[in-house]
This record gives sequence, C-alpha cells and structure tokens, in this order.
Amino acid sequence: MKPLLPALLLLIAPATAHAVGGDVGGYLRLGTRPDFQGGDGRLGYWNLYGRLLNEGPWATLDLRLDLLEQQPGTQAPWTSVHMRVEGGSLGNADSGSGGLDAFRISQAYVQAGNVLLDDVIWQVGTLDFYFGDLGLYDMRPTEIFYDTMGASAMVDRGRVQLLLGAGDSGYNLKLDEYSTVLTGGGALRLRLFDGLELGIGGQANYEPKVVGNRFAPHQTPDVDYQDWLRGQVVLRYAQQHPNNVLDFPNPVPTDASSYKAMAYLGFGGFGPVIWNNAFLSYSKELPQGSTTETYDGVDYTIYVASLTDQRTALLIGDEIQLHIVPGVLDLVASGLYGDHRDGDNNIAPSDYDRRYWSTVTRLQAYATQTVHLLAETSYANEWSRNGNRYREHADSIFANTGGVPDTLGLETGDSDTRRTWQGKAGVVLSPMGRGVFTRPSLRLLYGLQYSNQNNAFGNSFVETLDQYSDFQSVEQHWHHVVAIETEAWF
Amino acid sequence: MPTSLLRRLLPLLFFALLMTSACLPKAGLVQAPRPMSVAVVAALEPLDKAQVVGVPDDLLVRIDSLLAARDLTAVAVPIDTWSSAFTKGRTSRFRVAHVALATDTDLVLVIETFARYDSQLSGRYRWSVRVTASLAPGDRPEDAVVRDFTVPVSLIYHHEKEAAAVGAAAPIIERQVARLLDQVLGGMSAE
Repeated sequence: MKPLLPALLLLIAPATAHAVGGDVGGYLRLGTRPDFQGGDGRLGYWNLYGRLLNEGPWATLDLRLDLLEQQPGTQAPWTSVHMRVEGGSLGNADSGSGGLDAFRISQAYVQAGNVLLDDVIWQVGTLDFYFGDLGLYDMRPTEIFYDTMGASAMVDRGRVQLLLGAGDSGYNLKLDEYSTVLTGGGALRLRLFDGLELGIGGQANYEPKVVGNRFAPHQTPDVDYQDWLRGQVVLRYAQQHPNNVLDFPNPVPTDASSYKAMAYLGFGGFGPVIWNNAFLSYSKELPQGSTTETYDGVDYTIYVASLTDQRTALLIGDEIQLHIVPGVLDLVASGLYGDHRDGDNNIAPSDYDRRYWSTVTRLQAYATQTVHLLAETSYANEWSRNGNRYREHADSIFANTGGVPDTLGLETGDSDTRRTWQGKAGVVLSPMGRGVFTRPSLRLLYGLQYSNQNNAFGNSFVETLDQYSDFQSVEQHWHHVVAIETEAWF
Repeated sequence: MPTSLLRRLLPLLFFALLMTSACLPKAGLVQAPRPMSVAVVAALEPLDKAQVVGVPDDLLVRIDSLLAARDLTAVAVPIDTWSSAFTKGRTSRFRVAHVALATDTDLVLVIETFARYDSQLSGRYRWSVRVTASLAPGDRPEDAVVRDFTVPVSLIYHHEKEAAAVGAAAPIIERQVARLLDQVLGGMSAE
C-alpha cells in the first residue's frame, strides 16, 4: 500500500498549491536632522549632491490583490489589481505633520496575463516604467509613461522585455486645466548575454488644437518674451493702445507636442563589478498653458504656447557598484550630466536654461554582518546659461553683475555658477546584513557641505529688502547636519 | 556614602550591569533527541517554465548549518530524482511523500518556493517569495508539519529574476525553517 501513497495524494489533492491572495509592499524614509544654522534639516538644496541627507521623508504603500493568481508552469489566465498611495509628509518629520493632503494615489492599474496572447501582460491604468535607477541620486533618467493613463502590453520573457503603450497624459501634465494629451511609446530591453543589456525607448505626446477649448494650446499674438517675464504684457499693450485696452487680442488656437527618447546600457557580473547602469535621455517639454496679468482691476489671460515650446533636456547618468574587498568593503560611484535649454529664453536665468554635472561616491565597510560604516562624498557644478542666478554673499541682495544694483534686471544673484561639495559619514545598522543597498538601514550620520552660494540650503533667512530691515542676513558657506534616520523597502 | 561618590559610581555600576548581562544564559537551540538524518529538498517553481528546479546554493548551505546545529545530518537528494515528480505533482503532501519514499532517512524536509514579481517600487524591483516548508517523519510523510509564509524582496536590477529573489529571501527562510525545526524537535524531545 505504501508505494501507492504519492499517487493517491496526487489524485485527492487540489491541482494547485496557491490560493487567491494579495500583498502589501511599500517604502519608508524618515528621520530627524537638527540644524543649528537656520536650515530646514537638509544638507543641500537637492539630490544632485546625492540623495543622502538631501531628501525629506517619504512613504509609499503598494497594494496588490490577485483576483486570479498566476500559476507556475501553466499558461492559465491571471489578473491582479494594483494601487499605490505615496507622499512626502510624516508626523514630526516635516512641516506637513503627516497630513494626508500630502499623499495621493499615484498609481492604479489592473493587469491581466495569458489572455488573448500567451505571455503578454496587459495593463490598463497608470503605466509608469523605467529601465532602472540611479540609486545614489534617486533619479530615473529613462522613465516613461509616468504621466500617462492608458493601456499597455508587455512581454518579459527570457532575454527580451518589450513594452508598448498608449493613453492620455492630459490630467497629469495640465491638472485642472485639462486638455487631451495623446501619448504613445514603448521600450525594448535585450539581454544579449548574461552580463550585458541594451535598451531603447521613448514617448511622444500630442496635444491637438481644439477651437473653443480655453485649456487647449493657444498663443496670444504679439507678446514680447521680456514683457511676459516681467508681467507687463497688458501694460505694454495699454501704452501702445491707450484707448483700446479692452481690445486686447484674443488667443489663437494651435497644437503642441513633446517627446522623450532614451537609451540604456547595463553590464556587470565580472571581477569586482556587480553591475553598471548607464542611462541617456533627450526630451522636449510640452508648452505651458497660460498666465494671468491684472491691469486696471481687470484680469487678462496671456496664452504662451509659442513662448515655451523650445524647452529641451539632455540627461546622461551612470552608476557602478563594486565589491572592493568582498564581504569587507563595497563601493558605489555615480555621475550625472544635465543640459537644459530654452530656445525662447535668452535673457533670464531659469531651470530650463542650465547645465550641471555631478559625481557621488559611497564607500561602505562592514565592521560586522549588521554594523556598517558609511562614507560618501559628492561634488556638483551648476551653471546658469542666462546670467547670474546664485547669491554668493550676505549682501548679494543689493548686487548683480559687477556688484551693481539693478532693480530692473532679470538676474537673481551675483554668480552664474554654483559649486557644491558634500561629505557624509556615519554608522549604519543593517539587520538584513551586508550590502550598500540592503534595507532596512538605521543610520546615524554627520554631513558637511561647502558651497560658493551663501546659505545653500533650505532656510528661513531674509529673501526681500523689507525682511532685511528686520533680520540681518548672515554669510555662511559651510553647513553641518547630524541625522538620525531610517529607510526601508518592505 | 556621600552622594557625590554615589554619582561617580553610578556609570560604573551601569557598565558592570551591562557586562554581567552578557553572561546570562541564552535560550539554547532545540536539539534532536538523538542524531538523526534529514532528507532535504528545496525547490523553486519558475513562473515561465514548466520544470521545477533547485534553489540557489546559498539557501541550501544555510539549511545544512541549521540542521547541523541541531544534531541533524542533512542528506542531499539528487535533483533528477525529484524534479520531474515535483513538476507533475504540485501539492506539498505529494512532494513530501515522494521524497520520503525515495529516501531512507529519519526526517524529510521539503522547502517549496515560488517567486512572483510585483512592481517597480521606488527604484527597486519588488518581488514576493512564497514559501511552504514541510517537515515530516521519514516513515510517516502524512504527518508533515507545514509552515507557509511570504517574504517581500526588493531587488535592484531587472536581470535579477526568481533565483535572485529566493536568494535574497534566504535569511528569512532560514529563520522560519529554524522555527519549524524547533517546533518539531521540541515535540519529539517531549515524547
């Protein structure tokens, strides 16, 4: 009888061992960074200097419910519902005090597999996709469909990953000034052999001309760029047409487009190289909609499609992870180059007209399996293409080019370049063991920054002349922060 | 004793207390009542392939260490003796029975893993590794004690697939299997 037992069990047992279920995952980053220099607890302005100590709190809950679960070894249909809630405020960690108004449902979609076509995963809902991540920067240069609600089909088997998608990005890009933004695109990743991957992809957006829709792209005729920057378009028109201000020209409907092209190269698994990710993207932004000016108590809407339709961005990023001494010392090094251009704007500094490059290097030594020592250094150079943008001194509020006050000038500082160095070091408790990116980690860190910009961190110092009368500005280029923080994926 | 002297001694007393606490007896591992052999099979069910395969070596090494620490001797079961049967029979009861009949050991330990990709989450690739660990007497596989659990895993790279997910889950699987062993061995010791 005993030899027949397995066959008997096979007959009486259910066909699958896996029942309907779901899962909750997420991400959490929080901590405290007491700041005795008037800052808001971040070492520098943004994560161009490395994400560490430069990012605020963040929490994500990622929910999945399997309505029809995947069954290993079969081509049976399956389907699941996904929803993600995330936001940047946690109680006692920031000024938002963990308010739910800082959170949003950023992703929601339903997936179905092995329906109509075997091995194809259909997705309807949000479509966010990226080839990978620059972990030290928390940046994803090759991200597409972040703004899209639509449908996609993906095949991810063996050495090929292919994604095709289409939808509408209007609500994300234009919020309450919604206008349809048709979106299409895709991505292809090939693993040529174990240790080498290539990827290409892109996204194209088209916002059609719709006569009568005030949120569709329009251009108010004969608007001078400098007048628009200064908020003096209507004033100029009134000066030129003193008796006909109410005949301010009507906007002319037009269409608009934008795109993003991207490429990826990944290799590793040899010698001390764990993996190297290299990303490249080139994008053109969708034009802005409109701005409002008030003249003589009347609001005028200025449509600016043709004043904002030449904004492009080139991003190149690379990150390599190495075992320097296996089990003892690991290193991650990353670099980023960005070149943003605005073909319409040649007169005023802005985020759309700048060039920057940066490097970040992190060393992590393992004192024990769970106690690690971390050291990180970064250097960044940011250059404003359209003149001075950064204030180097406490009295820079009075100075522009050559130290000469220019109250009608468009510059916002006395230097066109910001140079920033940061160093960070501390102890990491890592209950899950070794690894630079092993989480959760509980960290006690000290961070130091030097910048040629005065008070180059989020602060509450004087910003205007009337504030200057009450609170004297201070000059400080060094910034220190001590942090107790934690980070976890779960 | 003057108060100032007491204040000076307080840190020393606290330090001494900490040091002596390190010498307090720790809860010991549950030992097998006698040296025993255990047939060990750890299987991975790929999502996109029909054939059930073995798990990464790191997990097997961890399991062997667990067993050795409890006076149990791991007996490896060649993959070609169970892979085909595990592919056809996908229930834990069948698999435990199959291994028990194919071997001649005191105990049978079968660990089944199934890794499922969830989503890209804050720069990582999130996986869920579902594990069923079954421990049974070699001569009574129907008496298996089963432990089901799911391990969340966040992998960094897209090329890291199911085997990497199971490898990343190995520390949690090791801990859960240790509890299963302690439960069963504790009961055997009490008999």
